[in-house]
Amino acid sequence: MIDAMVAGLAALLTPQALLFMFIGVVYGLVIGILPGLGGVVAMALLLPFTYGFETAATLALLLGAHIATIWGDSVTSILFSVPGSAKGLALCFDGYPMTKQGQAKRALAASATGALLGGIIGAIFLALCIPLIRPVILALGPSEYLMMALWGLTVIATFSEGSLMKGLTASVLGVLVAFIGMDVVTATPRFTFGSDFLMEGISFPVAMIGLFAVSEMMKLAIKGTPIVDRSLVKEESTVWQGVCDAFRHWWLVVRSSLLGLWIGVLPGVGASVAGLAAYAQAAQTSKTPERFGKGAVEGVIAPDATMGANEGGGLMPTLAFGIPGGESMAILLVAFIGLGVVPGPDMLTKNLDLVFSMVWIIVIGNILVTLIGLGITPWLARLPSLQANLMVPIVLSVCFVGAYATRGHIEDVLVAAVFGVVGYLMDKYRYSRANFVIGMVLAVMIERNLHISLTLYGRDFLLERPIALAMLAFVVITAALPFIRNWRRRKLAQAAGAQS
Amino acid sequence: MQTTRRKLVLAGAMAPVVLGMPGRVFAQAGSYYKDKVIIINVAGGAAGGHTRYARMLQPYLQKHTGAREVRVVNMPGGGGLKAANHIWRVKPGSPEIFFGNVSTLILAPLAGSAGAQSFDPVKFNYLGRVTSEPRVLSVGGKSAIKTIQDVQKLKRPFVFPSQGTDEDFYTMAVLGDALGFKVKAVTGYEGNADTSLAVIKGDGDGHITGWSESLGPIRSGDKNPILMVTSQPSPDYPQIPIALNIAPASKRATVQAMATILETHRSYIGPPNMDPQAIAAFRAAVTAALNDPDLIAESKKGERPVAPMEGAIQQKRVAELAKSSASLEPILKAAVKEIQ
Amino acid sequence: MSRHAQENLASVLLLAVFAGVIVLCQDFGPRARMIPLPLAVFGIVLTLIQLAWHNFGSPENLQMDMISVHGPDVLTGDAPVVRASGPAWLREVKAYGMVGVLLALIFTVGVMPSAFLFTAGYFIVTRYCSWPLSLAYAAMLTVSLYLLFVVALEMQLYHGLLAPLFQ
Repeated sequence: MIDAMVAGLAALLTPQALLFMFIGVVYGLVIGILPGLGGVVAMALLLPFTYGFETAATLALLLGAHIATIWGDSVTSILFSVPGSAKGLALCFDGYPMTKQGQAKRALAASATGALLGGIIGAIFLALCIPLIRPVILALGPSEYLMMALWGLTVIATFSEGSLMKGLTASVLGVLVAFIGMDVVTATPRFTFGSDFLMEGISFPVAMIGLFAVSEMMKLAIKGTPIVDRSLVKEESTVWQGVCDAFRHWWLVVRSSLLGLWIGVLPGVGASVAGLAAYAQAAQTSKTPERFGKGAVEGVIAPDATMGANEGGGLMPTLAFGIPGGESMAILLVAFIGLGVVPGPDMLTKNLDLVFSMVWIIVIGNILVTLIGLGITPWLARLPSLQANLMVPIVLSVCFVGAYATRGHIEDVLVAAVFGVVGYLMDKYRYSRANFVIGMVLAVMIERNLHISLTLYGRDFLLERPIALAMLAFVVITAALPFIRNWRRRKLAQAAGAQS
Repeated sequence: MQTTRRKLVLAGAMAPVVLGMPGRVFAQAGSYYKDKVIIINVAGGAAGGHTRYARMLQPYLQKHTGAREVRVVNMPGGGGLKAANHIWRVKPGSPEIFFGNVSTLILAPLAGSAGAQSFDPVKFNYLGRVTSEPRVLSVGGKSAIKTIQDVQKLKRPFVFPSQGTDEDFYTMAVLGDALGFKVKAVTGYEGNADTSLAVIKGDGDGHITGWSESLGPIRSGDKNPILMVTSQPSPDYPQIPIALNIAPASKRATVQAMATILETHRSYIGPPNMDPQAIAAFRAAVTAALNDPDLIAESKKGERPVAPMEGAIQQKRVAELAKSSASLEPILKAAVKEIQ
Repeated sequence: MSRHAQENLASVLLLAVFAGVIVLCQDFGPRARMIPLPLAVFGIVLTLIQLAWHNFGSPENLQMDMISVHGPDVLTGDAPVVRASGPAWLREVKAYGMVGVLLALIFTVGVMPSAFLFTAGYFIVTRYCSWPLSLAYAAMLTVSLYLLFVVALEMQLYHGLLAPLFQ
C-alpha cells in the first residue's frame, strides 16, 4: 500500500501533470465564480482536451478543475450572496453577513483553509477507511437518505428566529416550487400548465441567481450604496485571522470532513445536502447557536470542510462496486475510456497507484486552490465595496448570461428575473429566502426516498430499518438541542437575575 | 499513421458505395456540412452514457463531415423527450441533430407519456445507429433468485428498482406480462448507480441495464445476469437466455417488438424537415466515422462497443415498428398506471 | 398603501397560491399528491396564523420592518444608509423597471448585445462616468462575457426576437 502511495505521488510529479493541475485549478476557480456553473460543467468542458495525455495529467486536469470550483462557488456566496451552484448555498448564510460586517478577508480565508483541511482530512480517512466502505454503502439505503435530508431540513429553525410562521411558509413554498416539472416517481407532470419548459422543472442554480443575486442588486440600486460602505464599515479582518479560525475550530473541521466524506460515499445524496447538513451540525453543536446566520465563522468553515472532503468520498462507490457514484465520477469514467482503465473493484488491487494518484490530486489540488485563494483574497475582498452604480449593471448582466448558460434555455432568464422580484419581496416582507432554498434543495430527495421507503418496506418502514430509526432520534435530538440550550440559558439568566 | 490515414480516406470513399448512392450526389451531399457548425443535442446530462458516445464520435464526425465544428450540447430532461421535442420543432436548415435513444421516441408515445404527444416517431429522419448494447436483467449476487425460471416461480412480485418510466421500466413491464410474473416497480431512484446498489444490497430483486453498465459488478460477482432482451443470443455469453426463447408462443410477437425497439438504441436523429442533401451527408459521415479504424480502436480500448446500423435501414425499421408495436400499448399504459 | 395593508396583501396572495396548489393536486394520482397536497394545506394554516397574528397580535410580533432601506439592518444591526435620491416607492419602481428593461433587451436583441446596451445605458443614466468611458467599460464587459461564455464554455447564443429581421 505504501508502494502504491509513493507510486501514485510520483506519477503526479511530472511537469505535464503539475502544469495540467495548475491549469485545471485556475480554470475551475473561474468556472466556480461564474454564477450557475459548477464542477460537472467544468469537467465536461475539459474532456475533449484530455485525449492523448498522461493518465495522471488528465486526472489532474479534471479533478483539479472540479476541486477548484468548490472554493470558486464559496467566493461569490461570501462576497455577494450569489451561490455559484447548489453547493455554495450554505456559505451565504454566514459568509455574506461577515462580508457586510467588514470581515470579507477573514471569511474567504477561513473558507479556503476549511476546504483545504477538509480535503486533506477526507483523503487521509479515505485511505484508512477503504475496507469499511463496502459495508457502510450496503448498510444505508433510501430510508437512511430520507433521514439525512430531514436533518438538512432542521437548519430551517436557525433562520426562523424572527417569525417562525413566515420561515416555515417560505420553506413550504420552496418545496412546492421544487415539485414543478415531471415527477419521475409517478410519471406525472406537476404544476407545468402544459409547458415543455416547466416539464423540466425550475433549475436550482437559476432560481438561486434570481433569489439572491438579482434581488440583492435590486436592493443596491434602491439604496445606491455599495454592499459594504467603507465609510461606515472598515475592512478590519485579515487573511491570517481566517486561517487561524479554521485551525482553532479543528474539531469542527474534523467532524465536518468526516460527514462530507461519508455523504460523498453514498450515491444519491449529493454535495448540496452535504453543505446543509454540515451547517446544521455546526449550528446545533455550537455553544452559541444564536450567532449563526449573523456572521459566525464556524458557519463558513463547516460547509467548506465538508465539501472539501466530499470529493474523495465520491470516488468510493466506483472503486468498491464499479458504479459511478455521482456525475463527476461518471465524467472521470469517460476520461478512463481514453486511458484504457476499467474502473471497478479491480482498481483497488491492480490500479491502486492510480487510486492514490487521485487521492494525491485531491490533496495537492486543494493546497493549490488554497494558496491561490489566500493570495487573491485581499483583492477579492475589495469587490463588495465597489460603488453600486458600477456593481449593479455588471453583476446583473453576468447573472442573466449565467442563468441562460446554465441550461441554454432563454426561458431561464425569465425565471431568474421572476425569482429576483420574488426574492426582493420575500426579503422586504421578511420571508426567509434561505428557508425557501433549503426547502427547494431537499424536497425532491425527501419525496423520492419517502416513496421508495414506503413501497419497499411499507408504512412502518422505520421499524424495519433500525438505523433509520436511530437516525431519526438523532435528528430530533440535534434539532431540539439549540432550543433546549437557549431555554436553559434563559433559565440560568433568570435565576442569576433573581439572585442579584 | 500513414496507413491509418489511408484507411480513413478509403473508408470515406467507401461510404457512398455502402449507402448505395451515386458518386455525384455524394460529392454534393459530402460537402454539405463543409465549414459549417453542427450541433449535436445529446439526450441526458454531461455524465450520461449518450454523452460518452457523442463525445467519442465527435472528432470523427468532424473529420468525415468536413464541418468547422461539431458541438456536443447536453439537453437533459424527460428521459430524452425534452431533446426529442426540441429537434421536432427546429426550423428548416437548422444544423441541429439529436443524439439519443430511438426506443424512447417509440415507447413514450405508446405509453401515453406526457411530453411525448407532440411528435410522430416515424417522421424523424434517422441518420444512423452508433451502438446497440444488449439490455440485461441482472439480480443481486447473493439473491436466492439464480435464473429467470426462479423469477417465474416467485410467489410474490418481483421487486424492480427503477429511476422512473424509462426504457428499462417499460421492458420490465413487457417481460412480466410475457413471462408470467408480477412486477413491483419501485420508482424514484436517482440513477443506475442507485438501482444497482439496491439490487446488490437486496432491497430490490433485479434491474435492467445496458450490458456495459453492469459489466463491473457482474465480473466481481455482485450481480448475476439472468436474461437478455435481444433478438439473438449474445455470442460472447451464450449461457444467458434471451427473453424471446422463453416467452410462450402467444407472447413472442410482443417480446420481439420490444427487443427490436431496444435494438434501435443510440442513434443520430434529424428533424422531420431536414434537407435531403444534409440527410445523405450526415448518414455517410456516420457510416464513415463508425468504420474509422481509429474510432474502432478507441471504442475497444474503452469498452464502448459500436454496432452500426445505417440510417436508411433504421428509417424502415422504425416505420415497421410503429405498426407492429401496437400490442405493447395496453401493457405499458397499465404499468404506468400502477405507479401512479 | 400602508405597510399593514401590504403585509395583508402578501398573505392573501400566498393563500391564493396554496389554494391553487390544492386545486391542481386534484388532478394527480394519490402518490403524486401525497406530499404537495398536505403541504399546501399546511401552508394555508401557517398563512392564516400569520394573518391572525398580524391583525390581532401585539405590534412586536409583526416583523413589519421595511427592508434595510427603511429600518435597521437585521444582519449588522446598523442604521441603514441611503445614498439614492427620490421617494422610496419611486426608487423601488425604478429597480423593478431596471430588471424589466434588461429582460426586454435580452428577449429582443439577444444576450450579448443586451449586456452591452444595459451596462452602457446604466452608466450613462446614473452618470457613473462619461459617455465614452461608459461605452468603453460596457464593451470590455461584453467582450469578457463573450470570451468566457461563448469561446471558452461553448455556450450557444440567443439572438433575440429581432434576429429573423436581420437574416
